[in-house]
Amino acid sequence: MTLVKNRDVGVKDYVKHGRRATGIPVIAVVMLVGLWFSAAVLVAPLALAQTPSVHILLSNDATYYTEVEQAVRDVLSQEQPELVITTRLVDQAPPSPPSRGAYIVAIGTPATEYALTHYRDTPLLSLFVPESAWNQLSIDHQPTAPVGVVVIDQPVRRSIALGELLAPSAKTIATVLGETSGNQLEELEQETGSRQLRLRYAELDEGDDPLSTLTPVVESADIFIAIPDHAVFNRATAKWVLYLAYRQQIPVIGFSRSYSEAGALASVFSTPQNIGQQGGELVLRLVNGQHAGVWQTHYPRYYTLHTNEVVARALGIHLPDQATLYRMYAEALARRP
Amino acid sequence: MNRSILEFFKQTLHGRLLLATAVPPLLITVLLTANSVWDRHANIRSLLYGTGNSTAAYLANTADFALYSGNRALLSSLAASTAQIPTIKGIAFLDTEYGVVTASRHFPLQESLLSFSPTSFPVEIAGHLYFLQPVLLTDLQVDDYSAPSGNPADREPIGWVMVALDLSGSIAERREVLASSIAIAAVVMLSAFVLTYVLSRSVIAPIRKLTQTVSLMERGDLTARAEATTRDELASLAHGINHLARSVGRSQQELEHRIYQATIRLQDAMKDLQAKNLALENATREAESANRAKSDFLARMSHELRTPLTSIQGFVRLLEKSSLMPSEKYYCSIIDQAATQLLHLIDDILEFARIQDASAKVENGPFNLVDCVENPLQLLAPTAHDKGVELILDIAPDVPAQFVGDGVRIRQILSNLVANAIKFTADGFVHVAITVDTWSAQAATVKIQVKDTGIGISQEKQQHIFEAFIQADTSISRRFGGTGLGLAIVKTYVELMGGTIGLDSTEEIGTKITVLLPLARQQPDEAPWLNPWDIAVYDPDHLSRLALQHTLQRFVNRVAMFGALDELEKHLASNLCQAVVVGNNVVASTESSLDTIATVRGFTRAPVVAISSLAKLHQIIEREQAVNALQPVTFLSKPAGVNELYSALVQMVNDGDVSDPSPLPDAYKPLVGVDVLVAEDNNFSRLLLQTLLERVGCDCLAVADGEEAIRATSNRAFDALLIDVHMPGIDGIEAVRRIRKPGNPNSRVPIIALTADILQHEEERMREAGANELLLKPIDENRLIQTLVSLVGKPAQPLPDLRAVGQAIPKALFVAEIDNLVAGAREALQRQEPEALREIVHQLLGVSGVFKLPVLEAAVRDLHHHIANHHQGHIPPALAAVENLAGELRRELDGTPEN
Repeated sequence: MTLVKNRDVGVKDYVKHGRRATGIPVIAVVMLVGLWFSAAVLVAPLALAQTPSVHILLSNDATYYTEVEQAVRDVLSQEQPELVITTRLVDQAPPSPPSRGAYIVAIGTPATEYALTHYRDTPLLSLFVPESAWNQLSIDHQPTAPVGVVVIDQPVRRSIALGELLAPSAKTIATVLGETSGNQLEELEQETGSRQLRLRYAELDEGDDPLSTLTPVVESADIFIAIPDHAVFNRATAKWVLYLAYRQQIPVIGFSRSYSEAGALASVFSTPQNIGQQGGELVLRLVNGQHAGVWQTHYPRYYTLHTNEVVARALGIHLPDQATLYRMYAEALARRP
Repeated sequence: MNRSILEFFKQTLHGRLLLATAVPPLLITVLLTANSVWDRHANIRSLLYGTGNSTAAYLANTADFALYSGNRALLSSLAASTAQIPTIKGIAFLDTEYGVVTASRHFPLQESLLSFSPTSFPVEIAGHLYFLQPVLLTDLQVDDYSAPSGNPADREPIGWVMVALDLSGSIAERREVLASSIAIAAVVMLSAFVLTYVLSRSVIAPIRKLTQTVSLMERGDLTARAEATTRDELASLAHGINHLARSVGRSQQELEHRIYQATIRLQDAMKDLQAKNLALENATREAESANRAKSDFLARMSHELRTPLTSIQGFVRLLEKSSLMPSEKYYCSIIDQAATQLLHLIDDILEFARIQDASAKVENGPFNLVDCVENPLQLLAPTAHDKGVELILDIAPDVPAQFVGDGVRIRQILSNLVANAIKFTADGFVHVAITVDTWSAQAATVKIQVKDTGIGISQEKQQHIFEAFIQADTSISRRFGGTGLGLAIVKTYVELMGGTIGLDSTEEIGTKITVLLPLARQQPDEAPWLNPWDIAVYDPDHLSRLALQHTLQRFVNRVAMFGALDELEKHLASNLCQAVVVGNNVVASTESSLDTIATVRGFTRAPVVAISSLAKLHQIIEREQAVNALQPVTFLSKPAGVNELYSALVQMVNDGDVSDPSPLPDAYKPLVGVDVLVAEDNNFSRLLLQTLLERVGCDCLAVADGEEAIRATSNRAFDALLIDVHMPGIDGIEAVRRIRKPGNPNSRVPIIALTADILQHEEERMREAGANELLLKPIDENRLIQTLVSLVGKPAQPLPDLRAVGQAIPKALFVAEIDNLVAGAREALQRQEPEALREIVHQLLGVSGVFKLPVLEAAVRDLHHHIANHHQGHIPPALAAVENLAGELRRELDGTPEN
């Protein structure tokens, strides 16, 4: 079991599906470039005259938040050592907005919510929030200033690609969807359809008996893709999934290191360093005046793979070494159907 | 058996040693075994609990899915996975409501289990131990960036796992452990005990041998030797014992040898002792013989000395009455005094010899203490009065009269003490006080105190004053005469009676001798009968007045005392008195005494009783004319006795009628129906005895001599016989001897001998002849009655007052008898018939005391004394004195004055 961190795999993974992933027409690009140029000429003297400041707002002092912050700082200090970066915890943050020209980098959902509440006129870059949480915040606060978000969640295709890579003989993919993950059904169907795979899924509410719901779905599949859902994938359900899959001798593709350590064959996910790296790069673009493509929702650009050797042996699956795996995975992602 | 074992361990060295050595290892073995059993049992239990808890925990952790999904097959397979563990009896899975989801086939499900709360487990029921474990839903951490789940224990269980363990195996195992431990312990203990026993026995064995050897030695086998088989301390002890045995053996042989030699010496000494004893016995016999010879010699010598002495006295007195020069009369009086002293000396020596001879014994009979005290004082009074010394007798009114003891000895004690006091008192007084020191119902301690105003005794001489032949000063014997035996005799008598004597004396001041005599009382004591008279007493002397008061208080209830005539006059002027008693000082002249009586007569016409010394009395009576003028008056000599004073007062207050003061009630007749023979040659004495005996209820036959007595007793059985010793013809001794012969119906009847003599040989002869008692004349009526009562076996009764019984005899008859006897005595003297004279005086002595005339009685006793002691010279004057008194008596009876 090998953990690879902040590894820039060199593959941009801007997948746009459904409402959140949208394609950019060429005309629009040209227009945007023209506008960016005009604006740059106009605001350049101002930018030179006033160096923007970056204020990092942490939800709390949890390790994974500080790791994100550290990754952001590492990127910025390397590229813009003169840039002024301040860090505050939410409960220490001033209620008044920073001076004009500053950027707020909120790490975590509470920090994002605080910024949306108190610094409504300040551009905000939110990092390390679940996609479902961001969707709710944007509805609740209706931001007026520019906002860019890097969510934790991985696009569905990454999990399907990993499953396909590790169990190439699989014909049927099963999953279970809940209230928050239900909107990914379309993407799922597209991905499986494009890969000639059958999709079996079940919808699970909080009141349902997970065993009776899960059992037929798991028993009919060759591979099980776990999609994070607050309602479905509680701790118990995750356990039953693993247990049923084990009894059925089918691999489970998880979405966290913990899940693959608990019994999933492999997981694809982004670490705080992966998110911080991406966030730092986005801040660089902002301070450099390259605002285009920043103020939107981003899936993590960088990811990490984690495998469970024991489970693999139990299932009779041969795992390549980590480097090969990453390479093969990158190639698989690149082979877009 | 148990007792012998107990004794073995308690009393034998072997037992104690065994106990001391065996108990600690046995105790340790028991403790270790107990500890081992305990540990092993705890271990078994711990294993059992470990198995139960771990199995339940394992199943709880693994069964969550199966229980959650209700997969019974999976649960059964889980349960079956524990089948390999032998102690597990069964597994049951329960839902949250304790309903059994599934249970293994042999699970011992008990209904009562469900009533226990989960915290009560594990529980033991019916040989099974049950464990209960909750099945919790374990979760899984699937999110890398979320907080870890909470404590599993806080979560609600989804069901329960119950594990039942079979305890039979563990119980069997525990029993096996117990049995094996006990078996091992028993083997260890037995081995330890046997080993200890053998060891202790080996230690004890030589000690036992030593003990046996010592026992043999104790039994006398000194040849026994201890064996020293070891080289330890016991061997040293054995050598020591052997050495000791050898030493003891040698010592014993030596001792036996010494004993043998000592025995031989002892035998020799015994022989010597026997020889000496024989010699001693011979010497004792000789000494006794010599003592008897000495007593006889003393008696003979006293008799032989008395005879010439009385002759000397008689002729000196005759010579004194002849016409002599005053100086010659003075010489005669000195000779007379010397002869009298010599007589007393001889009497004292004779008495002391009897004491020394141990023949002096204390009698124990009823007696009248008042008489006992009064008589010797009345006899001694003239001597005191001649010296001008007042002799006062003060008997406390509460002193009872009747006692049991030796009245004769008390009389002697009083006589000696008072005579001694008079002897050493030149002037002043001799005061005799009789009181009772301590009382009880049966006895009293009588205190006799004789106090004088004599020369006194120095302090250093006082401690020897009671020793024989000791006087305060050698000059005393020269000045006052005497042998120095009087107080020694008194002391001996007092101590013989169980009393004490004390002396308190100051030189030139006086002497006080106190005698305490314990005496038994005659029971019950009669309450004194008091006459309802008013008596006035005049006596200028305080002590004499007090003595008179005490005397009168014995029979008069109201007595007024006066020391001055004017006070008496005042009293008599305002009070009617039945009589006045006037006491005259001994130093007062006749005239003075008469004047005093005349003065009193001037105050009252009541009868007067005048009390003076005997010498003064004679002189007063001689003043006939003066006396007649003072009538009614009666004269009594000092000290006035109770009876005299009482008789005089009765006679005067009742106008002279005292012939029968009070007839005796029947209750006072203690000898009713007792048949008594009286043998008395003297008519008056015979009549007196007859009257006396009839008054106390006797049937009396009186005879005049021994022959009549023998005759009377030969054909009639009496209850008692009273026989006079001196009778004409067959005397009393011979009569008693004959009556005592077998065949006489009165051979066993009590006999009381009567005599006026106190001759020892006569008493012994009378007792040898068969008389039970010997009574002295004049007869003490009370003593006679008491003696008769005790001899005829009558129950003890209070004695009647018999003091006036003698007066039941007509006084004229008494006077006539006295006259006859005195005339007979004169005739016998003139005819020189000493035996007849002795006999007549003997009778006179018996008769004279009847009417309690102490002067006459003293004179007759003096005459009898001289005749009995052959004081030839004393007899005529003594007879003359008796004749004089008899004449006075006759004249007093006739009412004719003396010429």
